[in-house]
Amino acid sequence: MKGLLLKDLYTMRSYLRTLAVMFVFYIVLGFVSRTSSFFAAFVGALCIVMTVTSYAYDQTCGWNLYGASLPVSRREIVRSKYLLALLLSAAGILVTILAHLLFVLGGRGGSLADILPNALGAGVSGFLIVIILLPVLYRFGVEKGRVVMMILAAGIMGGIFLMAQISPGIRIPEARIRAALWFAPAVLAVMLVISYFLSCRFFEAKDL
Amino acid sequence: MQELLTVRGLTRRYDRFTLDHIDFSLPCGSIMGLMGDNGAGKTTTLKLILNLIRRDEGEVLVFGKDNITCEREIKEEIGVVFDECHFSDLLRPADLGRIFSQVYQNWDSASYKALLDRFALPGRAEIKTLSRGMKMKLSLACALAHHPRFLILDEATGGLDPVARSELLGLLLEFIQDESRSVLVSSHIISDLERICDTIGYLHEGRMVFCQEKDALLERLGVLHCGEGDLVLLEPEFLLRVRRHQFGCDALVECRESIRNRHPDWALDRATLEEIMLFYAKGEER
Repeated sequence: MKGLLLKDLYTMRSYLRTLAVMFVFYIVLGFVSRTSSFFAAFVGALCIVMTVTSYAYDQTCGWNLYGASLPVSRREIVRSKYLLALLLSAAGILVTILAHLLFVLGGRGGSLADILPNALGAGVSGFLIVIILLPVLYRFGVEKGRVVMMILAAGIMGGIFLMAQISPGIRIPEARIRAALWFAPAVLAVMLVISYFLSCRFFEAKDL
Repeated sequence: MQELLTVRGLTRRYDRFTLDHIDFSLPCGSIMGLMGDNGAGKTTTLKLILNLIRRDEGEVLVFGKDNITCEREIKEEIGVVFDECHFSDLLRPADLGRIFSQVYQNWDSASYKALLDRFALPGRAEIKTLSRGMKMKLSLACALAHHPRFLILDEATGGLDPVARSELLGLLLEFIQDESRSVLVSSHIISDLERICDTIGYLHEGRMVFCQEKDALLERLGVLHCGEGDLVLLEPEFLLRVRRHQFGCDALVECRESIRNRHPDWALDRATLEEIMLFYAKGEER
């Protein structure tokens, strides 16, 4: 498992360096423009893009075939991708916290109370998309997976639009949203478990 | 002699192709070559041995253990070289050493370093900067540095220049000096197989046509160049396949020496592996 994770990190080494430079650039930009809101979107996108890129690298060079000929199970290969996404999310959350702390302590706006929710929101939302994406990638591959994801996204947007059309005046009270947030970790954990087992099932059934 | 690999009734069915009840075994201390035209089932056989694809029927025993139930244990002692280098272009040989030290229990970093030095592979260069020959040598270094007992090569010499191919084949002969080890190599470069293999398995349209000791096979079989009239005089039990052409016909025959004794004036040559393959692929049955 450690070897598989190392392989992903070494492969994305130059990519990670570029991201570090971008982080520094965004921190400077945030300081100058007195705004830090774009950090959340950046961190979420980072987790998604890096995990998909890692999967795409594996597919392009045929690593999955080679990896399965090593003394590691297919489940371990799948698990290493989830671990990579988790590590990237954790790193993203940490960097966001540090960046926001710099803004707050440097008197560039924001409040200490908002730092953790903002960072967690960004990291978790990115991870959430990844756990939806990974089974799709394991089932359809990168090319077809992209199409399936677009269809899924269109379906979700269509569903929301349809609901808005059916009951246009509906408003969810903020207290109910806050209460629902308490269940978010449990929902995320269940989704993670379902996603992982689906990915394992798809990958184990695949002829390499 | 103890068997390192036993394949019994191995079958995989696809819509347009079936690998049909393949049987063979590989003793310790030998090199077996799988030859066959494109799509004959060589790679499918190797992938089934490695459990990379699902088998429909049959059994594969490696070191006497089932290749599925004892998969991890078996793969600790197998080295694999595919026809392509399956490492990301962005990795470096030195990275692979660190990665595989976490994958194989028996990974020998000193041995890996020695192999990189022997192949003149730069540890710090990205794989994308290496030539095809260098990439194959890197794959071989990764396959050897955990001291496997069983080496599997799938078309590993394809696309290499003669010098690189010769080096690679030399390494396989060196590997086999330890008689507890074996090599299974698939190739459609028949001269490579003829040079290094002890046993030859010939796959044609998903079936194992023969799997025999190479020297005995080449000693036994012959190619008879004759006219249709002479062919009628040949004892039917000796005739395997015929290829007809405008000047007469060529026949693949068994018991070459017996035929020579009976018909000393006939043009009868030793058969090469390539000729045998062509007779089965293009020739007519007796």
